[in-house]
Amino acid sequence: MNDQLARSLFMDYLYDEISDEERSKLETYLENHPKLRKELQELQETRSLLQRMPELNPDQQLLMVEPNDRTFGRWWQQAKQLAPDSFFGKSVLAAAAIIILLLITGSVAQLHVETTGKGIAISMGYTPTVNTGLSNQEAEALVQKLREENAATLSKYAESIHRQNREQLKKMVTYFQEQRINDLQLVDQTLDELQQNTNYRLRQTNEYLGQVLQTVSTGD
Amino acid sequence: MNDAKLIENFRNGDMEAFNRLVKRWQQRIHRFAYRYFASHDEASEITQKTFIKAYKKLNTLENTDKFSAWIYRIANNLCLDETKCASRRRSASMEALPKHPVAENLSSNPDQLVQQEDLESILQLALRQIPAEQRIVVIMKEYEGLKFREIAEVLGEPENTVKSRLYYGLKKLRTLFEQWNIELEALRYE
Repeated sequence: MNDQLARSLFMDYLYDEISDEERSKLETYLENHPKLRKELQELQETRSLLQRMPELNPDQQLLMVEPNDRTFGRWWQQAKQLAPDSFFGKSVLAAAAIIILLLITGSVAQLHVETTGKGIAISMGYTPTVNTGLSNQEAEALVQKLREENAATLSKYAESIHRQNREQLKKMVTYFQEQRINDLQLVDQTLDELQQNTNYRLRQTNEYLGQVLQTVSTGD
Repeated sequence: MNDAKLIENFRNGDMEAFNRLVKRWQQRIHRFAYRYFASHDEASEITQKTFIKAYKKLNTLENTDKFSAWIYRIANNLCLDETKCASRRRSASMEALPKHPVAENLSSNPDQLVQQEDLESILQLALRQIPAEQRIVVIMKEYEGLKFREIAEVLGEPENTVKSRLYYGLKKLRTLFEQWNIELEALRYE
């Protein structure tokens, strides 16, 4: 063995990946070579120091892949894993499943359970509700009452229409009378004005005629 | 149910199987990315992206027994891609980087007792100073507990390359601690 060969075994020796035979040879060689022994000692110290690095625990977890292609087989396997292992657990689960199944079936099939004096009656499907209705006398009384109410309503309605018409007619008559009086007053006023105008013109004509006669007599 | 069986179920259309894979692995992937970036936000983003990619590509995984290496490989590639994208922001050299307040404090007072939260800050800061390919091997070995064979499988590199990266990674971390004048004995205080 020489120094180079001894150094080539240092790493195997330090990390305990050396055979017993090589370990023995190296240790024997180092006994007579203090410089190499010191070098190995320094490497060992460095290693020991590196080993004092505190442990690291990353607090954050990576995002996981979301399985998106669930087959029925895998779903069934996962569902089976959720089932209880004990016999009691399985029995309870089976009972619960039967009850839920019955409830669902009853809901879908519209199951009816009735207790009568003769026992329990179970039926499925739609059950029409039976309406007992009114007796003949009650129906006639009801019809009569409705008729009376209708007649009273109609009578009130006709009277209301009649009253409205009368008021409307009265308003129209009043309006036409006022209109006639206004027209007569207007005609009277116009005749007066015409009369006054005529008189004025006659007077003026007489004055002119008087002046003409006086002028003619003076000239003669 | 092992990973291979969950993958088989997922391929048969069982989305819940994929969710179980996520639940089983998200903490490990988050922890791996957090050790790499020292940022919960970036770790969460890498974790999300890892599982989105896994969801899309899971049908292409030939050997379902190798899911562990496969999912780590996706996370590792995403971390490296993110590092490349942000290289301008993060490519400052070790010397150019300002000293971490905790490291500075320790440098001025090496006898100071180191609290647990300070220790985490120092270790995270140190991890970020070493090259990405060494950092990944250190994280996989120290914090994920993978065997050299498994790391080689994740990275698609020979085992000796993995061991070599780990050796140089540890050496650089040691150098950093010495540079910051951190006494290992002080850090070991309980």
